[in-house]
Amino acid sequence: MHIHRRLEALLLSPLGLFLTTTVVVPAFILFGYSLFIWRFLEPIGGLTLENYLEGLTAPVNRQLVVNTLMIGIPTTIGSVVGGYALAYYSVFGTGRGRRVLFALIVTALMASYLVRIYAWRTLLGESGVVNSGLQALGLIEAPLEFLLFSRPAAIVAEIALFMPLAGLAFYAALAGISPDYREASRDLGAGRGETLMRVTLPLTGPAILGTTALTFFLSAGDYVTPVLVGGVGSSTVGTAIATKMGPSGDYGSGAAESFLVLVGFVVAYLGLRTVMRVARVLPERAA
Amino acid sequence: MVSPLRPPAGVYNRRHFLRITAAGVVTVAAGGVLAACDLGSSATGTPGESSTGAGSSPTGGAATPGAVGGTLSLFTWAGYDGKGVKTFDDWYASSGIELDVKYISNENLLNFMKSPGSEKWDGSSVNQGDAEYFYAQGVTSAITAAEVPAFNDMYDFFKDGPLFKVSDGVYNSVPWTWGPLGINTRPDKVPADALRSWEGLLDPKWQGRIGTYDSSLNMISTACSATGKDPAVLTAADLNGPVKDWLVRLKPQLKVLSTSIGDQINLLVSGDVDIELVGLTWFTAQAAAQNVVVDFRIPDEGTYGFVDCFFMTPWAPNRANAIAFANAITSGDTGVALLESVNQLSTVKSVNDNVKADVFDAYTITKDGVPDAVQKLKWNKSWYDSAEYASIEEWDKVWEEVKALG
Repeated sequence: MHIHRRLEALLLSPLGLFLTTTVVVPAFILFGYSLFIWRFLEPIGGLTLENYLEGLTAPVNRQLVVNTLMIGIPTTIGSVVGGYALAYYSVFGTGRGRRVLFALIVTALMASYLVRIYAWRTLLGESGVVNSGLQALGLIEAPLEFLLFSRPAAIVAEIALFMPLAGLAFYAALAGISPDYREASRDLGAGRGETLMRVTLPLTGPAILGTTALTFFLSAGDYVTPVLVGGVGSSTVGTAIATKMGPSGDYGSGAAESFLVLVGFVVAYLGLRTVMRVARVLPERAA
Repeated sequence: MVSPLRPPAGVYNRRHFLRITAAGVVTVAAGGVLAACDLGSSATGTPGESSTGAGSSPTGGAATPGAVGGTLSLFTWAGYDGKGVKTFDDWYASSGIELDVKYISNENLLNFMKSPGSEKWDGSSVNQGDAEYFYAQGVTSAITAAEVPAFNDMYDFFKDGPLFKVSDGVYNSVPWTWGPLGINTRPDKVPADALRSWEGLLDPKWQGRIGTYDSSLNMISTACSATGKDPAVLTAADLNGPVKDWLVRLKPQLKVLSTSIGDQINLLVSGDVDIELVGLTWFTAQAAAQNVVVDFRIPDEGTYGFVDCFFMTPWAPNRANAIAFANAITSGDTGVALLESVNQLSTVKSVNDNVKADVFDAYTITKDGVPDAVQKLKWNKSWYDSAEYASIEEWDKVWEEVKALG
């Protein structure tokens, strides 16, 4: 059934106006910024692509990309695998705990982002709960210094942030699968593992693709967690852009790098989609 | 027969939607690019004056002060507003001034002040390195000794020094407290003899035990002190040579970069680090309040100093209140109480005369020793228009490169 054109326009206009105002307009103002060299918060000279060239060629940016991937990839894998396992148990599990688990996933999302990051400091600091507990048990003599202000600490904190989000997305996808498919699979002789690999995973392929991309984008763009718990070796593309758009006031360079990161995200998304299709986790025409 | 590829009239398909979206985007993009092209004006909507500076008139075109009372909107650093200091709280009450304060880091200040929404702010804190830079950027207004009489009683360095003075009796800001920047340590973990120099920070035994403040201005000044360079006149060759090299050597020693002074103190108190750079005498008082002993030491090579200033915006809606605040921090009991609360000394002789001896002890000087101590310190400066010295942009770039090292 076709909706009449005028009715469709009427229904879509508030959302279109909202997205135009909050996404499209700022993005294009930012794009305008990226086409100028900025000095001391003012654009100078004429239109130029110099910011893009510098973004692509500066050695410091290559190191920042490496740092970003070293945090973003493990975070994405941990969040997606963990989130899928949580959601799978919440949907298909038989124990009483599955409802509690789902409630915990939702509750974790309610807590403030900053509070959750600072909670890791309380847990992992040298006088924090973990170190104090281990010392009290006599398992260690001195506090474990690497628990906080290190790249692994940033990864753990980000997984804790993003895994509930991924779990919620997977919960929605898994809950939408008709039990008939899984029963049919078992009737045909497939075990649990085979049913998971050949039925459940492909049916949730679009959700896996979307959630993996979302988690990676959030992690790679995060400029708060690496600063607060990642220590001195956790400068990322996100933290560098935040510095340029903030204290340095180098809007042109910061904006250009934001768009380069966006292009990188699109490439990563397309690459992931191809890999998932080859692995038959994603249907050929989905997503 | 209707083509399956072309929907009937009045019905959208994806191609229609994309065409309309593309047309809208092009229209909007033109606006964005044109906005950025508007080179003649401040693209970030600077309130008040242009970037040519505020110094054309003694008051820099500032609003005429009215009566004291009502709101005082301050951007400043935690501890510098006097809130919670009884004498200062009493002063607020008796003056009828209601404080509207927002704490902000030095690094983000200029950006905020030049952004839309800054019209409400009457004043802020600024470091001496940025005082003249901010003035040139049009976010600070000139202030006269007639408005703040304490200028007449300041030590010569602050009264007549080029960092603050615009012309006779006219200043870019009110310098009110100063001190050396050194190293804070936990003496239970770092005995006094174990760390006496900047170079000592590179000792492997301190690897991963040092925290610092994430600021190019301070870190490069620290590296200048360690390498014998003067941060006020640092050339690009020195910046990219010995100064950067020293920071690269320091990097593996660092454990965490803090974005606030409060965070630095917390890390020392919690024991997550044993040493904090860009240290202040203030840390000792703050840590003592949490029953932790933290000491302050000046390395043998010498160090650089800070002068924290109060400035008023050219557009200050409550300039009279801002002037009253400037006078309160530079004179009388209010000035003394505020300085003792942050464990720092004044730029004004008569205020220092009444500051308790503990504060002088923290600086390891006597009451008469202020002029000498000030002379021994180096001072950083944010260059923005010098062909001879490295600009603050270059300082930022070098520090970002060091931070990015894996």
